[in-house]
Amino acid sequence: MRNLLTLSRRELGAIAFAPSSYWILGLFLFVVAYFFRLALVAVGGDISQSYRSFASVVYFQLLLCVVPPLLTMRSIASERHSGTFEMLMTAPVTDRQVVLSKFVGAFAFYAALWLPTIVIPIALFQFGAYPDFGQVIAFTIGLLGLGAFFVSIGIFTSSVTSKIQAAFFLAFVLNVFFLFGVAGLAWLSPSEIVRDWSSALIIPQHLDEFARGIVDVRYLVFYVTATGFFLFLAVRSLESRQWR
Amino acid sequence: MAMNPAESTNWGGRDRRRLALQVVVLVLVAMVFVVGTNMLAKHLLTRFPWMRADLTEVKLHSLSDTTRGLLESQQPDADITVVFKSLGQTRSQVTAEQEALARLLDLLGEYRLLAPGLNVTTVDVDRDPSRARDIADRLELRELQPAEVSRVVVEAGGRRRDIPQAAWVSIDYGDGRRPASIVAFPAEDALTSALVHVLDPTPPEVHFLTGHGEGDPDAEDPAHGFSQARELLEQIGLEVRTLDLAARGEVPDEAAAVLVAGVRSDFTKAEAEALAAYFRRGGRGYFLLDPGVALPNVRELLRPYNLTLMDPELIVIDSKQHPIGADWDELAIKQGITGYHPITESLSMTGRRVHLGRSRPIRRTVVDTTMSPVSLLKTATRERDLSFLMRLTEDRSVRVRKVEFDEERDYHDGLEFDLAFAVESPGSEGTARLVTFGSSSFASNARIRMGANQQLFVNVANWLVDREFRLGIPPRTDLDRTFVMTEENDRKYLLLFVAGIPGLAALLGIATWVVRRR
Repeated sequence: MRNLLTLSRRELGAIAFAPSSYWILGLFLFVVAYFFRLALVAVGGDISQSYRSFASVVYFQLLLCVVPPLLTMRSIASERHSGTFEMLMTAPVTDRQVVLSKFVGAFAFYAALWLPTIVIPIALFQFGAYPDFGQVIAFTIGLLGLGAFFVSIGIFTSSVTSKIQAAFFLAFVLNVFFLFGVAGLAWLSPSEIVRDWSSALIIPQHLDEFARGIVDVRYLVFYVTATGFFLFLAVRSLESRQWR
Repeated sequence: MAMNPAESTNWGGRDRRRLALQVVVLVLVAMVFVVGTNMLAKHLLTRFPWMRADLTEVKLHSLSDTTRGLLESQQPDADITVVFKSLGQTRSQVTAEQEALARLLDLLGEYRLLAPGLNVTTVDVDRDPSRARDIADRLELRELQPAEVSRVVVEAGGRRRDIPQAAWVSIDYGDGRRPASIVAFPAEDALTSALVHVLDPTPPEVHFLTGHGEGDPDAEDPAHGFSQARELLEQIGLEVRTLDLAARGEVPDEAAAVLVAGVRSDFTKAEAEALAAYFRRGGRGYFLLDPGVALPNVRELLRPYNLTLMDPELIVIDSKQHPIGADWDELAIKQGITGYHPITESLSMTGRRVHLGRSRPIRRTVVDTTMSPVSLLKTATRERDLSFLMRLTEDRSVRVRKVEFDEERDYHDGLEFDLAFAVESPGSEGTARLVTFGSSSFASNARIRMGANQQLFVNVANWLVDREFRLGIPPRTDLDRTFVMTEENDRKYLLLFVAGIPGLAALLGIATWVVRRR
């Protein structure tokens, strides 16, 4: 546990002292605020509807696919690329601790990206509107759940290659597949059973539900288990150096 | 403990294959675990409703206990067809309609989660005309006018219930300056009622009394027609009949309730006795009694239930004692829904008003101490500086000019008068239930779709036929959450969120960069 905390602190420190983190944060907040304003205008100022409208915009969904790989692409791949990976591996830490600390660092930064957006409904309240804070909390829970899933995919892809661009691209493709491809497969499938089961994996539908103010434990179970699965794959990927 | 990478070269080919196989097996086991856990979560949802939490402030997406109970206990197999046709002319009207449709489909999704046997089909007449034609043929909707096409059709076991659009959503189509918006969304009430109807092969009968100028359940006349009330009763799964007491001599046993809608002459003694006998057996009565009609026999009929009809002149006067009107609607029954009774409990929370029209007050008197009528509606006022004078005589001359309060004849006791009561009484074959309103106009075609009238009318009917479980489904109405995008508000938003906070983050980045360079 101590090793994990030390490694996680190292990861978070690296993020906090990197100027690029703040530039990514600024750019991210700009894009989110701008798209939210467009959504707000599109639904005539109805804040409740604007969350649903915002969550359904393709640009926003693409942003969700792009940001986690940007945060994770360097996590293991760059250590391999720069040669510090071997040094890390000689330290008295397990592969699992390495993967988890990378995940904690990237996920904490992802959560930090969304944190300032909670200011939007608070400020709208100050401006005289009346947002539904339950809906805001549900939407934030959904974004964090999905973020954990996509960050774990990024950690996994970063663990299988030493090329940063390849790690980003692979993670992006997987994210797009989970975000849009699964829905396509569900709709195309002739089997009622497949359609029924895969409907629970359609992420745009999850986002819509969270944006309505609903927290469905099934979706959280999916995100937690899928996150665990990709982190498990990342650990196995690191271990594979022993027998490859 | 991690192994030095250099050690990996010591593995032999056989060991490598064994380890690779081990990893493949582990990955497969992990996949099975992930899929199994998710399947289990999906399966458990129907058993543990808390697994789907509605965090919205007004529980906008939560099914009522009534609906939940029905779906969980009966697990109905039913076909629900949503036929939608836009009537909107402007963008805001179409947006409001689309939002209503989206909310309906969301709601049906909630139903399906608890009752997977519900088969939902949606057809948008404008977007998919050929499919709409097929469905319209099957449902025999082809002859309807465009405004009547939008509806939800619920079918099960050969029974069918149509829910017209007006019954599941109320849209204010706005005007040039005011955008269209959803005023009320009583879809859950309408859907659950329809399901109850199609699942119940023997619906209770409500008999409209005739013979004394009562409102006609088939008449379209706005003021004294009750065709819309009839439609509503049928929508909640009741059979509507008419009953001429003078001809028949008694209330038939199959009558679950009798409805007296705005009589224009009094019942004969024999008719009143037939009704009294019916109530003594445990019958149910729905009285809508307008003012200005002398009803001594009806008054006698209600007396044992501790109710006394009054027939006063109402005069609204200003602080200088000048009469300024006699409009009961000015008394704004908004705060007047009492909420003391299951009929009005859910309504009192919605804040919507009842448009009662001219009404006669009803007094609680004590004839039988075992009976306790519960007030459903009271007058209330928005204009606190006005005074109200109740003149308890038929003398209408007070309308002219100066009003003088007469201690002997007049009633001037604050602003509260009871306008409707519900009462129960033990009968020989069951419990009698009577609901009496001092007005029939709230249920007339002209007023029944206004405010909370429709819900009140339906709630009374459900209570009378022992469907208390239907009384707790208030319309789903969210608070107004509009952020008015004025030029100033837009500027504030852009400055703070699009420029301010992102700019601050960028400045922090620059500061970090400068510190690191040092």
